[in-house]
Amino acid sequence: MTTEQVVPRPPGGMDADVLVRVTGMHVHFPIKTGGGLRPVRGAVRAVDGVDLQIRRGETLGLVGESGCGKSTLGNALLRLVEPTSGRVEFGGVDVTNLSRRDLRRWRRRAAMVFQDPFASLDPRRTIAESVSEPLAIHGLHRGRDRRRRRVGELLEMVGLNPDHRDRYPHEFSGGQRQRVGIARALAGEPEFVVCDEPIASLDVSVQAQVMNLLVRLQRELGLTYLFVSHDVAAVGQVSDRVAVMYLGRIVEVGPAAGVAAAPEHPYTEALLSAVPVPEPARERTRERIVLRGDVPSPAAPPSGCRFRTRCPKVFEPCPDHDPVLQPVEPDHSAACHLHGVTDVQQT
Amino acid sequence: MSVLAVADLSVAFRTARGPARVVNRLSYEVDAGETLAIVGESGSGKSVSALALLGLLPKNVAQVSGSAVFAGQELVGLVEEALRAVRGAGIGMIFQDPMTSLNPVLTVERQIGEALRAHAKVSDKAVRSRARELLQEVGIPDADARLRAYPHQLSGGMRQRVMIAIALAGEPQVLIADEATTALDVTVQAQILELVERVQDQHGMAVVWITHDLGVVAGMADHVLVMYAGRCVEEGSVDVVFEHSAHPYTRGLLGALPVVDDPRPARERGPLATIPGLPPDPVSLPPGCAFYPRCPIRADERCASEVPPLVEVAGGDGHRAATFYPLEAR
Repeated sequence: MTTEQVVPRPPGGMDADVLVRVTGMHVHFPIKTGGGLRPVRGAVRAVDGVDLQIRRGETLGLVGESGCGKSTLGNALLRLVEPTSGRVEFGGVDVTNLSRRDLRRWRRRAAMVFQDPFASLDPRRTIAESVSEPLAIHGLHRGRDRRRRRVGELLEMVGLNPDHRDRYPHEFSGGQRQRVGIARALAGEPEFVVCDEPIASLDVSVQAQVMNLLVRLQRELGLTYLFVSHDVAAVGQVSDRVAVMYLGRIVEVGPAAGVAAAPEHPYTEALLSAVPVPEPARERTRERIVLRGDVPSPAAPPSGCRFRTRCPKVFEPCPDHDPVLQPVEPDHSAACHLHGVTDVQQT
Repeated sequence: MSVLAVADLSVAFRTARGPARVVNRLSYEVDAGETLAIVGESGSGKSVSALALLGLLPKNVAQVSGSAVFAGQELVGLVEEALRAVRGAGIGMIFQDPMTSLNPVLTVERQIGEALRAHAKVSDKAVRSRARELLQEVGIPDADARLRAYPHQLSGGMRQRVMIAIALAGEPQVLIADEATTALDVTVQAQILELVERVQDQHGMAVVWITHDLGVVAGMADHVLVMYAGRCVEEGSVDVVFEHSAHPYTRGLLGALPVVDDPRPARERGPLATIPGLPPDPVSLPPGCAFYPRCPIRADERCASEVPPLVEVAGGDGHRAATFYPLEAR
């Protein structure tokens, strides 16, 4: 199904090209009632047992609907939120317990592009100041002239006019501000970039510009991306592989084109079918799988399979057994009992 | 027979820099049972045009001119009291964010009740039973418990269903949906689209669906009107406009969209088509075609100096475009 298997891998086996490896990741946010004898009343299990590998040079799309935990997972990878448990390895090094100092040094190699370029840029700083801040933090391109030249290069790289360096964020359109956000993320010359809903607040024609830019930069700079988005079509446009998240778990992961053509999890199938295609004749006849009900609360996920309360294919083992993400095709896994009943080891 | 006929509707906002011409001579008609989609990006004037005809724009800053005839009645310039009778009972409206359109301190029953009482004298008992019916109609399970709920106790999809129930309370002939599914997840959007199609079939309402999402338009609409810089740049049946776009802006928008079931891996796809630049400032619109500064065609001087009129495109069938050089004809 995929050409992945015939590509010769570097010595060290299957995993040698993995840049980021996440094992047993949990991120729980305590629910505080603010008093009494039991101040903590359970937890929102935003990320609840995720294993994930991101390969060097690829784009892994992380797709899911609001509240599924995709942004929390992206943040936890960069330790912008602290995982409750689990491990993140970056280039073979465990970064879960880095000291503050080492963490800062590591962050040069792993950057983030945020959703809202208005909120993530300081309105009182010129874009040159925003873009050069990471250079100062990491002590790169020291000296006024060199730093100035570097900021110019970065702005040019993202398609902005370096002569506009002394302007403020409000003088730019949403798309241009997002370009500034990307320039800032690239200032430290990272290997890995988490793009957290980078196109969600942009207009259609501008979304295309930003997607094209991210793809071009990846090819020029050899970057590895985690592209977090609720937009299934956009994820397909930029991703080599895709991971689908539902209620704190990854329910399917595989080559993006393969998952889109033949989803192996009923949730992925419903999600793909719900995305309208801009072709009237086809859209009118496409079969839409309309899911019943709402996503359950991540503070009290259903027993067994988390999707069972809305799954059109629910059957007997689903309430009692929590399905493991298991291979169904080469390089393509799904967490569904339709591929054989399994149970997640409780830890 | 159209239920709503808008002709030469214009809206200008007073600003410190001069009038911002946000809607410029917009015209359309909708028939009973028909769905018209108004498509455009932020600032294209699509939402403002709908608010204008219902008299929902602040009068001290917005100047509305032109005409909007609903059921034989001219809406532009109508006094507030008469407009209030039209809103709800004649034309219902649902908005993008049901959390801000619903009152957070009133129960669902109170809010549906208000809509029911606005247009007729009804007893408390009748209100309750009608409200319950409406919740059932919009697919809200356990209607009795939901009647006592407050908006924050409902999910986004449920809140939008409540908004639709409120809109239906007045038994409107026209339902205007302004980005009604934009804030929702796609699986919830699918539920709401299915619901609107069903109530439209049952009530034979006309639906004006305002959105930026061309995928939603493809599945929902009979006719589509594409707006750019406050003007209609192209209109016609949804099939013709999507498959034989005559205006370079429409073509550009469609080309910029990735398609969810494109079988090619990302690395085998070319870059998406883009439209360079930004829409013009409504305070200083270009003298000629508003799309001229971003247009890939820019055939001649006329494009820069004359506003292209909205005219029938060869092939006809009500397919019209505001361009001197329609794409199919080239």
